[in-house]
Amino acid sequence: MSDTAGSIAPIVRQRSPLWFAWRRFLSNKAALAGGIILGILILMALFAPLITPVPPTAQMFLTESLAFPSAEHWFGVDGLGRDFYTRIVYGARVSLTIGFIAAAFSVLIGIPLGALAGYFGGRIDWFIMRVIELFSVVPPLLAAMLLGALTRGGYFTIVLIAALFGWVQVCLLVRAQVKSFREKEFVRAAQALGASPWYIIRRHLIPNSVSPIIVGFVLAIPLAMMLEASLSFLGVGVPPPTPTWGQMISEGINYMFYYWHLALFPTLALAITVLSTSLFGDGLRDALDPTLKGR
Amino acid sequence: MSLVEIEDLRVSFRQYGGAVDAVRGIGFTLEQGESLGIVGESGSGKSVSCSALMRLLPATAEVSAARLRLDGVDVTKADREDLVRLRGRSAAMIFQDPMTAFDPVFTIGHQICETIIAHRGTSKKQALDEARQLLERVEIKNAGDVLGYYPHQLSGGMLQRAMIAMALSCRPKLLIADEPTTALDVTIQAQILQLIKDIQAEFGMALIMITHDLGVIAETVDRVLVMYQGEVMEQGPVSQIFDAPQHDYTKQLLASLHAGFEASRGEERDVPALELRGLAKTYRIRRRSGLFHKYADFQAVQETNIVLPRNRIVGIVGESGSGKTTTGLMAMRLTEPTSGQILLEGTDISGLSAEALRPFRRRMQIVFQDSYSALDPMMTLVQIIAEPLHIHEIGTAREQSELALDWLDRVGLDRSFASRYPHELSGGQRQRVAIARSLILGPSVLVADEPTSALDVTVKAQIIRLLKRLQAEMGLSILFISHDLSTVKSLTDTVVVMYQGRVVEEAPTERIFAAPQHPYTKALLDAIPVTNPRDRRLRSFLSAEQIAAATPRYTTKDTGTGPHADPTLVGIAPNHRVEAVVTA
Amino acid sequence: MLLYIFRRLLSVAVTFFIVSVIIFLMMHSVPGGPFDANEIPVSEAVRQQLMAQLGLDQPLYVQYFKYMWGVLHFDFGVPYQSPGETVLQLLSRAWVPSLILGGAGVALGAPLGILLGIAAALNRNTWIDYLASAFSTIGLTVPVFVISMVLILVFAVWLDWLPASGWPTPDRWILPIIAYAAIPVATYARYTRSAMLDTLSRPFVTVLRAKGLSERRIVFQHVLRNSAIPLVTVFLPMFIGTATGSIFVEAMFRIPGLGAYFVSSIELRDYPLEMALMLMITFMYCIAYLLSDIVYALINPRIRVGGSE
Repeated sequence: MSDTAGSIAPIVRQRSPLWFAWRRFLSNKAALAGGIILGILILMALFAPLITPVPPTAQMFLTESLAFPSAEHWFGVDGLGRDFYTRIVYGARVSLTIGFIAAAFSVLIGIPLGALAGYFGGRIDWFIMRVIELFSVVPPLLAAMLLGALTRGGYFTIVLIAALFGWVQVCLLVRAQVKSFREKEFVRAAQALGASPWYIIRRHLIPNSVSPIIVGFVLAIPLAMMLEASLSFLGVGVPPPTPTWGQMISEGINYMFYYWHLALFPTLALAITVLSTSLFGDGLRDALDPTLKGR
Repeated sequence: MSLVEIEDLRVSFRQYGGAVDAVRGIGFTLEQGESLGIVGESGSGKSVSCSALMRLLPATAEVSAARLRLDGVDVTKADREDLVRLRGRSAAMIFQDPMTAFDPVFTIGHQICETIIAHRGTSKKQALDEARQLLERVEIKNAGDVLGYYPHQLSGGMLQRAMIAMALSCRPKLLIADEPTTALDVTIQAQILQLIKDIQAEFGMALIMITHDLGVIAETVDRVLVMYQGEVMEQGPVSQIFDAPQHDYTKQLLASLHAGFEASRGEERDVPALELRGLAKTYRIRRRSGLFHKYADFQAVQETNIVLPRNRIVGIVGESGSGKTTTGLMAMRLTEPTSGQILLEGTDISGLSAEALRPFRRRMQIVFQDSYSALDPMMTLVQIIAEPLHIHEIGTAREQSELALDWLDRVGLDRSFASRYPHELSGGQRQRVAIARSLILGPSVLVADEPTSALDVTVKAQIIRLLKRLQAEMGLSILFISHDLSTVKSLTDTVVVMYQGRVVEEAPTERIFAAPQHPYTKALLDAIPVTNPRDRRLRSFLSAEQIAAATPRYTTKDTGTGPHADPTLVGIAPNHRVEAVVTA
Repeated sequence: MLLYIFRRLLSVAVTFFIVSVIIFLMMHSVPGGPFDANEIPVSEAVRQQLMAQLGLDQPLYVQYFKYMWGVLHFDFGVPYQSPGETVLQLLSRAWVPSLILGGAGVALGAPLGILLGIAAALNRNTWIDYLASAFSTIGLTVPVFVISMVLILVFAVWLDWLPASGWPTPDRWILPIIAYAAIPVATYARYTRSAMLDTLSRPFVTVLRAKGLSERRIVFQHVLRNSAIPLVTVFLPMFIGTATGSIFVEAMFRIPGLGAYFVSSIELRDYPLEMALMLMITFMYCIAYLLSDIVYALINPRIRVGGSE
């Protein structure tokens, strides 16, 4: 008997772990739908000037103020004579950009801190975990409102606030992953080869943390969007006349009984965007890491 | 009517766009009181068949059979009530990993009692009484206390005993033992096997013993079924299988049992490849005491001296907690020793900084037990094998992958595997890749930490042969760490036995097997399952106290040293040292 | 066990202290105090006097300890927006609607969520499972004010079954209670489901089946009890969600509760009230945190009995 094992070499296409994740993702209908809707929303936001008839802040239809939806004004006209469809589309720009930028900042803060805590453990880990504990007893939305009120809101303030509360999730995900992988024997093997901690983090731990990083990023987006909408709703978010859905909902309440369209469309827009992003994120998580399922 | 009747049983599992056939038309019968062994490697369908008999398979499994009867009941058509009667009363099961087999939030007593009450409707008090008797029967000494313990408070061996007690609680006609000893230490394994044998005889049960280990089969059963890839290769009385195997696969299995000694060739030079001098590791354990913490020292490894000569293979053997792995990791400077020296070809590397250590890292490498976690799942095989070159910046990227491809050849893998990912390989193939990675820099010392213990028997033999061949080709010196004396038998030149953090005996392999001196070495040897059913014997087991009490005694005349009242390592023959008390 | 509780208590107390300092500093560090020249025109002399009177000219740490000393005696000061009463009086008035509605929401939502989660886990990949997933995704991701808005539009505006807002009569409480219940239903449904599925896949469940226990007994005794352990930790996030939700529910339904005052205190820069509310809410969180830790230890024998390791 020979000690060769590779004599049977079936010709299969080489499939990386990410290929299987992609297959799992495709088989999840809800996530796929979420991803497609999110994609359409992003395209709409990008090409907003091309698909809307008028600028979002132009009060061109003052005579038709509060008009109901019609062939001309798909979502009607708001109280200040602006085409409501245009404002909803431009609202997507604010919502999505805040979501993505805040998520990016969350990831930028969360990855290094999570990797540090997970890899070195000990005092660094203890310190970072205590900081996270502080964040966990402060309700993010309330603190965000307070911060928003104290700083008088504004686009970048909102982004920063969202990132301030968004990094915790990313940090925990990365920390857990790094922690479980640093005990793996391939990390030990690299250490035995004389690799530096930096080499190990860069070449082994970060690539293996791609899943939690992507998941953390995508799931931070709806949280940031929700935060922005909530703050704008309370009047401490992005100031008018920039069209944001939270603001529009807040105004819509006043008209709700007579001009329902002013409340309905921003509500639907926000709900659909946040839902599809979450479904997409959940689907990605399930696909990328079957063990995290449902958390 | 037979107790178990199976005919043309097929099981397949649905998966993404397709089905995997786990069992392809097997059949066997089992009479009352008979014992049957099912042997095969992982994935051979041996466990799945028995789970099908108990209807324990998940919903993704599709089961069909011409006949699947247990105790006169057609299992495929059994309704809820039949199932409740079948499970526990007609047949009971013991599982591989006792640590996860108990519900963590209930006490052992509760879990045994609920079985008794569910099947026999006795009162709580009667049930508790009976549970205590059962625990005593499985040789648990403080049975009364154990009833009130939660699973996490007991060791694996104790839990497996409790598991057996629970299985016995309803006097089943059939006991199915699914790899009952695989997760346990060698000496505990032998004890559990003997217990199962005794109990089977005492209760007159039939037994199905599922295992990958022919030794276990030789120890326990009358009849054997050899399975391979979901089919029965051959079946027959145990003596026939061992003496006159028909099928090639059975012959392979048997060959792996009968490995002989084989000394390493090549000259042994003056300076040893690796020498550990007084190496010790002490952990500080933090204990909570009131609001503050107390520190206690735990000696994982006491001062240990081990010499690994050039061109030789030295085995370190011991059970979990004996300090063997810690010793290996310290030798590699992966765990910092508390004290002592590590001499790599005469240079002490124990105090070197990470930077100064780098050149030495090229000369010593390590292979781990778990081949799955030893390979980065996101990298292709070539990337993995070439990583050492990458870290030490040797050659261009092209040269690196050329060399990696050569090594694929050398460890017996096809070059077409180059761009595969670890999850596409079997355990044995992954271990070959790990070996290639550790040897690509051409080290002189290799620490192999249980590289074969997670592998199937036949694969294990292949990996051992591969190591042996590479050792001869490269003039390697290997420190081979294992929990199992029978594994090191065919590979090593010298064996070091570790027990509770210290070396208790060290001798040339042949001598250890022929003339063991220390009681623990004897216990380890005694625990090795027999290789032929004819050699079955009753074993006696020693407790830790008995081992301590049986420390060998020598006079100063035997050893040529001064007297020692405390057990110390003394030389009693050339290259043979044993922990003993020396009197004047 | 007592020791464990004591240690947790200590750690939560430290956390609370740090958070209170941060909130205090935040409140005092931003420009725009109550007597900012451009908002309320007062002369410099009067301003100095007022500041001194209120202790605002002292170093911050003195102010902090003075304030906290008052808090220990339930003295939170006087709200700017309603100077006729103390903050404490205002809060005790505002508590009632929040407690009734929020309490009812949690009391209805949590059991409902747990039941939904159990049903989903036991009937995996059936319509019940999908329904539960849909509920929990919506409840967890869509802001409460959007849910409230949909409720109002559907039940008050179009169907005209229920009044949309206000506090006086109980029929006006129904919609807010449903809105309040959304978060507990969603969180508990999701976490119960995943905890149940996690437990069902553990090897000991196979052992329980193999020893012939009925499926009902396995699920209701063993699986539920094991799943309850991780569920306890959900208590905190759910609590946070509900408390935060109160701001929006009360704003949408025009209910004079704590959440509504939180909004007005922010809009009016009513520092004493804002500070009191923040402290109170953080305090409740700390308590919730502590409680969930204690219950966790109580039902988990690994902590209660300790290990043999």
